[in-house]
Amino acid sequence: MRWLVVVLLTTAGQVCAQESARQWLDEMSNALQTLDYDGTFVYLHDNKLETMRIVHQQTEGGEKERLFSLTGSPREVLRDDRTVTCIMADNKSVMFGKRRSRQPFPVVPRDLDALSDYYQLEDAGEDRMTGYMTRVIKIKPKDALRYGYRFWIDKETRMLLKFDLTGVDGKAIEQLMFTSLGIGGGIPAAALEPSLTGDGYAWYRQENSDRKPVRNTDAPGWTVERLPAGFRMVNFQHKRMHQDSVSAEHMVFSDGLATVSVYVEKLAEGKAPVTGLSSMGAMNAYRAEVDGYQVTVIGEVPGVTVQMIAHSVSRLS
Amino acid sequence: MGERSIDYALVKKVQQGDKAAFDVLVLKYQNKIIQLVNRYVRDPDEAMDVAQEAFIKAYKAIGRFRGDSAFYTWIYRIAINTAKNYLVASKRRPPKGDIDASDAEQYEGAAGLREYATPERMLLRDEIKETIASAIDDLPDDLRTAITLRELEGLSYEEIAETMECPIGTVRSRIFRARDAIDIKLKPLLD
Amino acid sequence: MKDKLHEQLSALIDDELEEREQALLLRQLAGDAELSRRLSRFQIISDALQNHLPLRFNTGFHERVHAALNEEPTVHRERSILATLYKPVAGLAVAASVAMLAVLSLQSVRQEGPEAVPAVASAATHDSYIRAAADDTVQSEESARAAQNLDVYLVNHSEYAVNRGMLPYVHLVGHDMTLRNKE
Repeated sequence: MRWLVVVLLTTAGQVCAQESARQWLDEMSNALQTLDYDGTFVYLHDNKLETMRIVHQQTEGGEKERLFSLTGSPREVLRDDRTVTCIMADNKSVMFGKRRSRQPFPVVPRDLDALSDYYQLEDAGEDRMTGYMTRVIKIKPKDALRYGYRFWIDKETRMLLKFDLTGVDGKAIEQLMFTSLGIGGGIPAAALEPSLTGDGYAWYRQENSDRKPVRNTDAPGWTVERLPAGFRMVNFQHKRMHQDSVSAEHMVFSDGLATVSVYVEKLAEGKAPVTGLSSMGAMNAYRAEVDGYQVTVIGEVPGVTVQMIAHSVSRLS
Repeated sequence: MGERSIDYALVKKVQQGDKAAFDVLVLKYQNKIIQLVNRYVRDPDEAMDVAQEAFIKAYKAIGRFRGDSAFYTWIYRIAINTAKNYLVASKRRPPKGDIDASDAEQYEGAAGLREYATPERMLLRDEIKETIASAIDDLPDDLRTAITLRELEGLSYEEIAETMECPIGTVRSRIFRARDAIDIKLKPLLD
Repeated sequence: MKDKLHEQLSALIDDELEEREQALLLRQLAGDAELSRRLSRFQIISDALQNHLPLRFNTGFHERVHAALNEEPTVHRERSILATLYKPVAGLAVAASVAMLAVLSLQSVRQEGPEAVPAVASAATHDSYIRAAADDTVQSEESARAAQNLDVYLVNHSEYAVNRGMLPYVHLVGHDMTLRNKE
């Protein structure tokens, strides 16, 4: 009988550890959304170091956020409750569109069990970072088709202080770490104003997602046959991605943690498709041509995964 | 301290890093604190310096404020200690025994006259008082009654509503309009 | 509208302000010096009637305190984390010089084999950077447009990316790389 007790205790311990990890992450997510903060952080990816600053404010008037680069060419993203605006100095463009409401973390699935089929949540205990006591929470993938995550969460405020995105071997692919962070205190309005004016830039407006769909169907006309285990469709929309193009089908898949978007658009007459893998640290995109349509798969998953997904997109007859 | 008290809300905000909330607390209690410090520190300029120091001390210690007493009670004690320390540092003898807030007013007139009541300084405070008194005399009856019950009798809005047999909203509006009318006459004096 | 605000000031003096009114009024006060002065005068009226006015006082006292407070660190929260824990990764110098060739976009790399994951310090990645540095930096209109198109997907997708603690849009803002669309 004793071995049964041992097994039960182990399982209970595991469940407790998972619960604890999940709770830390929930609270961290909440802190990121509800606190006022102004911080500078370094972002390491692909052997490059970028410095960025984030200013965030939550008031009874709503949420406001500004993220901008301090190194390299100026790039800014501004968000409030309703809109998102991206200003890039280098290709002289401003993209803006409607903001989707923030999803709770994680979106899908709601219960811990389903997520734990594909990821192992781990409360890795405390770690002291200069002057701060943090809790380290790990999310380890159970296959090679997704990434892992490590969070260093400030014990006192539950703010994220450091973050690693890891490959299956546990090595960091991307890293983010605050080098200075002020929490609370008044955020001056000027800190949330963009420093780039966008004058003379090309403006791209995101089509509203609640516009009438081009076709009178509720379901996509395309299907993805190969998805990593646990990924299911969480969203589907028709939208026009570019000014002078036809409407695209946009399918969003998620395993509760990683999200992958699949865009399918009819290629214009005489237009050559773009193909191949594109990499931006942990964000990968794969483009392919299927039946005269341009397929774009993009998400925070390894390159093999977006490639696999892209090659399995097919039309429903 | 009452949950509904604005002081409670303000202190919480300050503890969360909202400096602007502390400004409001300063506005509310500056006169009382300066008057209190004045008992110990006779020179008006020095009194203001000490009062400022007391507010800064309160700000720095706000994290430790638990809310088991009223904010004013708390800062009252800080102000007295600051004033006493100042006197010790400048080698002056503080008055015997702590002065209770309630009998503070009694000391004001006599001592003030004796040492620092130069005609110009007295004029400022008394001129303000006279302006306000005459402005109140000019008020319509309902406004004058409301402000008198509030300031001189210390009644709450609810109590005033019962006394005047009108809704609380009306009380609030009347008190405001009384102050607004007084303010019109007061503003040129202070600018 | 102004009158409503002023009436709230009056209620504030008497500690009779509704809870739901508090937040907005406090925010207004923070940004409006004239409103603060009015509050100050209302308080003077009250203090005068209750015999709480000091013999001599300065109407700019609260501004004095405010200025002094600005010298003080904000209570409780603000601290600095030194980046002493961070060790630079080898090859940073090369990456830095390449980064100067500006234009934000995804780097398109045609991969031969099934293994398409670019490791952090892979030789292939380095080669493509160096090659980019040697090439003519003027991009063809075609590839420029192609790069721009991908930005649109990236921006759109970022809104759907679950907030897993990694601040969304860090990818978009944090990448400043040479545009190359290798066919």
